[in-house]
Amino acid sequence: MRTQGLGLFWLLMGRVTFYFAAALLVPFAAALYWHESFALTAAFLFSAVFSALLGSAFTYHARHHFQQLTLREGVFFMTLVWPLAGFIGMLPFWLSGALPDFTTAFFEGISALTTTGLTDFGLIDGERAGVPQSLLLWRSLLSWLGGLSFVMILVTVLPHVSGCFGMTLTARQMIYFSPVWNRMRTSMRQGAAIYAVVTLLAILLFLLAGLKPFLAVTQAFFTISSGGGPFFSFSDYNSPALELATGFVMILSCVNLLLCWKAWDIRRPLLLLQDTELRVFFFIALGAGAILSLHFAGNNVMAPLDAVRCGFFDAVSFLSTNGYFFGSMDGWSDFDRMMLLSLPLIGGCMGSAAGGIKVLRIMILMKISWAGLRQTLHPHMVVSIRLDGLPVAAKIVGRILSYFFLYFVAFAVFSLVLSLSDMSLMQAMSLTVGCLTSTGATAALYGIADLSAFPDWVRFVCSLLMILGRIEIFSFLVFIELISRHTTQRHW
Amino acid sequence: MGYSIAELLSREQFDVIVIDREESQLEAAKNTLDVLTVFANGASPITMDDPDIRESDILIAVTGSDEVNMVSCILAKKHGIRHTIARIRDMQFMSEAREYLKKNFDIDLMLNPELITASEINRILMTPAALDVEDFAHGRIRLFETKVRRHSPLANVPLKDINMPKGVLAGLISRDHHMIIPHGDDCLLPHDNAYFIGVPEEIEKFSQNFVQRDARKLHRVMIIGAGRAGRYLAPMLEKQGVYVKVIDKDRERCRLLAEKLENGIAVCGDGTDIDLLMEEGVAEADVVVCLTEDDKLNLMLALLARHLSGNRTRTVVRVSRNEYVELMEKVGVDVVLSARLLSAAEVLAFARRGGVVSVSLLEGAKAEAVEVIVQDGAPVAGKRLMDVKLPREVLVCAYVRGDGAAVIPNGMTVLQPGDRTILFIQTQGAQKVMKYFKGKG
Amino acid sequence: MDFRVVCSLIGRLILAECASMAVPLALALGYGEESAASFIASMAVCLVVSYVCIEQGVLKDEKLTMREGIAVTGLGWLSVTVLGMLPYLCGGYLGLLDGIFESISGFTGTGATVIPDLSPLPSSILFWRMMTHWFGGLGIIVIFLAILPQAGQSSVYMYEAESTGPTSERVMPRLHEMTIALFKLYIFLTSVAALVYFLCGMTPEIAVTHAMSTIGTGGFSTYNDNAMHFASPVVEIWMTVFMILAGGNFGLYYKIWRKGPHVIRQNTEFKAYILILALAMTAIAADLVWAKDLDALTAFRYASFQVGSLSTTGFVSTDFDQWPAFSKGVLLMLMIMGGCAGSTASGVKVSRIVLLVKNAAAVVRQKLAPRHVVEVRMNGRLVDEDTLMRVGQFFFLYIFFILVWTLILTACGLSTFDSFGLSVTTMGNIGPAFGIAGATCTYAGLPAFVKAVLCFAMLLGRLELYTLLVMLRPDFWQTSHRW
Repeated sequence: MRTQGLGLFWLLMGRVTFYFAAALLVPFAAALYWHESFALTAAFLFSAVFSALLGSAFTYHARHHFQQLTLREGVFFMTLVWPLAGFIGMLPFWLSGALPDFTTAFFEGISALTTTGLTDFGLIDGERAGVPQSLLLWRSLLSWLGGLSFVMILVTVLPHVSGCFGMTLTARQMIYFSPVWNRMRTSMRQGAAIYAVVTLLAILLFLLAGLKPFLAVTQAFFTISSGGGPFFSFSDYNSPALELATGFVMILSCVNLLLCWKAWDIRRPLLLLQDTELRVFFFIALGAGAILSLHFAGNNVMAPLDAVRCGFFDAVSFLSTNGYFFGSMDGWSDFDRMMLLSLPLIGGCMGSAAGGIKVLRIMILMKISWAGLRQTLHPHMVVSIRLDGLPVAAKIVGRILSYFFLYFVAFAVFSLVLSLSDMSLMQAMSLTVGCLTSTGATAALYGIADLSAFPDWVRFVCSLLMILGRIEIFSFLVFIELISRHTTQRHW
Repeated sequence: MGYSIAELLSREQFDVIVIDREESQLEAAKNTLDVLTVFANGASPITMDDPDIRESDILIAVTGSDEVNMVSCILAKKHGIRHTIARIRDMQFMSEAREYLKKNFDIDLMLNPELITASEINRILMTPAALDVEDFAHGRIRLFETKVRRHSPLANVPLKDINMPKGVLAGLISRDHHMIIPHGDDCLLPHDNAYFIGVPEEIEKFSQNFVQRDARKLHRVMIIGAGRAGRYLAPMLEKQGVYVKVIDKDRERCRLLAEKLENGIAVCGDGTDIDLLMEEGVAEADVVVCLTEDDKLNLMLALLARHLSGNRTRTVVRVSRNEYVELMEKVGVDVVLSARLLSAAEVLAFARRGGVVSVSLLEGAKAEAVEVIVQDGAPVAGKRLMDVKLPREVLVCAYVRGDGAAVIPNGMTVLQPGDRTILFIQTQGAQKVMKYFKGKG
Repeated sequence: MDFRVVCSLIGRLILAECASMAVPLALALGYGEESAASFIASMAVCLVVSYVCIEQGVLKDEKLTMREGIAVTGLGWLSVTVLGMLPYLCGGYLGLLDGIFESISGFTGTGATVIPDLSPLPSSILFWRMMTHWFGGLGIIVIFLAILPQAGQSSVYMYEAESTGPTSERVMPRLHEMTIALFKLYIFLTSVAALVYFLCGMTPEIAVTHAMSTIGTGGFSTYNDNAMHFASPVVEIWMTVFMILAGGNFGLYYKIWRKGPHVIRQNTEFKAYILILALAMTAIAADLVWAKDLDALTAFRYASFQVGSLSTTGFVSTDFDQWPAFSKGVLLMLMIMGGCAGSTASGVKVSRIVLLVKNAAAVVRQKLAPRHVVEVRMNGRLVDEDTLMRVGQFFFLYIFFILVWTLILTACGLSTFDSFGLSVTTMGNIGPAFGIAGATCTYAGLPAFVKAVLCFAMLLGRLELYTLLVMLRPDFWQTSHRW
């Protein structure tokens, strides 16, 4: 093979499959330990073995690979790793009979992997009524792995495929992105290390807040990957300590992991406090929380103290694209719902596992709009905006504006498609927002708690949308363009 | 720029050798200056080996390329030339690598003409009514040049009758191209350029006398030309609270500048476009600074600005040819600066050594303000000034002893070694005067 | 900035408005309606205000500066629309806020009405309503410049502050001639529309008023049930045709008139506009057939009318609030898109959407071939980076404001979907929305604060955000320190 094929692509896919195979052994062991049903245990084992075999096949295919990642390999990997991982992830659900329908199981897998949190399992409160614990463990583990995968992609492949949309801004003083395979491995290790540390911190916090170990671990997995999900009912616990712990973990899930690494590397934790993006994030979270609390208290929906708890909790929950609800939505006005619908659009900080358009991009968009107003008065003026004291290249600003437009187009197109099913337009729009920002619970704001009532194609479309949100839409377009070029002409 | 430096140095009776790779440049130098010209590559070891060159005291590298300058200096040091001066224009070298360059390549003086120009303009603009402002003795003594206006209260009044504050002395008067060192009976006539020297705070207060009644604090400055000098100047002015607007034809340069500015704006457009100038409010600017590369353009822009604003704005122009300085001032530009002269002054100060700290060239190099440290064994040390019999071309304006305040000397003063003295000298007598302050050897 | 110049020009604008009130006055006198008194009162007030302004003001020969141009346009629109409510107020037909709302809705070409029942109103008042559509459609500044004798180089900034679209395109070298040409074209189209409506069976007065509303892409009707009143497919087809025409670039029409129809081939925007409308019509018609079991012809009749209407004007031929979600979604997207640049419609404008799409495609292609030089072309010409940036910024601001208005409206107690629809429709100057302000409803029932907010939204949309927003910056007004 003289020309560079897709060697690294197969290698990366192989690696991912192996990791998942190894991960599958955890619930397998747990199922054995808890003496769960044979079907379930066998399903885990079979899935693990199958993944391992698949991984070997991929790795064999990749025995000739170059050291440097090409754009093609990057795009293919970014786009195709999600369906692949989703497939592997859903195997236990499907094979064990918990979710016998293929589309439903696949949707569940993707939903966990993209840390969205929509689920057809239904509400639980610590004990799964009828659903085995090992499956719940796997569900949370899958969510955690999804967050991890996203972080991995973030430090390796994403900068080369769609780095111009602002990723490189955040990395200006931090980790060096390199397309060379060996360097990528180092970056991956660093990223994984930070993620693991943060997860451990989360588990610790939950334990301190009084959760049982099993719940602490699963909740930590769910929250730190900004997945969330209706697997846990906070109002049943009614514990401010737990809410505080969850709130803290949710904020952790939104922090720029690259920044954490840098702070750790140069032993200067204050770096975190000086970061403008993080400050803006806090400002938005506190502001939204305050507005919601005031509104709740003012409308006498709940007692003032509860209003504060609920307001802040929900605000942080939705801003971090987790999607937890504090309690029920009785008495909520549409303003509250609209607020919580808009927050995930802002999302977390760049470089975290959260979804949304990201705080950094929103900041740049606001700054350029303000500068643009000035340009109306001085049409020949050259506009330059700065972030953290350093100027932002005009090209990046242009790309971010493009990205915003793409995001809106995706929203518009998919809302229209989803509205063809049996839901109202508002519901379709909220579901689209939920999938695109990997929040999930926004659909619940307008009445869709889960997708059980809808046909299969809706779940398929949602799966596609969730993947689209994770790969930042742009990669998908590049993927389509690559495929079309390959099929329409011999491209040289 | 090398030409200007060569010219100045040769006037000082230094032996100057000019090296250039271009015959035409050498011709010009050979024909008009009293120098030796060598046709060679300044950055080559072979050139350095030449016996004439090897025995030099100072190497001054002012080619257009920073790298060539640096290499020349390194080679020079290796071949035994004792002091090196290099022109470094790249901003990054100047800020980030300055210490590195100094330590490792042992370059004694780094010239950045654009930075020097920008600092100069900044200083002048920040003092209203000033045509020139210089600081000596680490800022403890200030020189202030101003034009005496027709309606000034101090015009036509004998100097001894003017109630000048204690810390201020009238150093030099330039009248119709003659430099006059004033005595008590001399008057300040209208249209004179007067130079005052003294303690900065007193100078500030004193300068108010020359400020026009309706002059305001500097608010708005328009800079035309976003080359290096403009890029240095704009942030400097902004830091002092001035609102800056820069116009340049090249989009990339505008962008570079826009990145440095906080409140000011960079406009991409042609500075000679009257519509653009009016639109951007040149009529309301306090000062218009013309920093394009083309002298003729600068002149026209300055005149255009004056015309459009009805003579209300002050204009500052940068020229590259020293001969134009006088002409421009005559035509109506308020402040004319030559980057070459400014840099050459620095070189001159360095070349004179022997305690010379800095040199400012005034009136197109006809006079100088020099800061000298009195050396041990100098003829002037230890004796009363009126006993020293200094030549007529010099005036001792002020001195600073140790860490003390600046003092205006009189005939009774005795200068000691180590004193920093500020002198006004007419250039033709400079060599003679310097001997009085230099020690033996 | 010289306030006196601004003042004097605004005074003249108000004088022109006063003169235009003479037409409904004549109508009122002809019919013997009591509204004649209110018109006379309004004209008197306008005269006084304009006299004061002109007296205080000073007319200068030289070119208006950009700030003055923007100020004249922005403040001019504000004064004209506010004073336009005088006939409603003086006759006691509407309260202050309602009157202002109706007037702004008229001039901005929105067509949202706060009058629950139109039948008791005298025809002259109804005629004034439609006239406000007509003037605001082409632009009060443009018409003003066309009539004013000495407009020219001095008024460039005024024209640009009001004109729509990502770039300022000129069809003719001299501004004054161009405004005259546009105005003539405008009158011509309106007359043709009126004639056709008359031939379809409307009375002359109804034909003229509805023609004004159509070509001005307003949406007011003299009937409560809007276009449903006619219940005639022929009328609806002609209305659709003229509405789509009014959504096109008037400059383009002028070029067609001069150079022939082949100019359209080069104009990307118009082609995109027609294509998008055709796709939307087919999609909605298909949806209606499938979901609501209508026969194909009826479905297409309703679909085509509403598509043509809701991207620009806002006429209603059927209660589309009952339509399935998909159709409503398509209509919503059309409302955001709006018409072409240089038309009488508002919205993001087709040309901007085209540019944004092309730019996104260019970014993708650039990624795959970093060394190629990728360009974006439109209407046969190259588009520079700066324009693309500004288009992107405009789009962001537009969506941002829609979200902000939605939030504010929900805080006032409306449902999310209704608020969203209201924000989109007022920013895009369309008129009808969904739910509480749906196809068959009026805005009468909305709380006062909401009406005030929507007034601002309508003006913002008509003046393309920047003209108004820039006036909110303090350093626009002060000229002492910053300049």
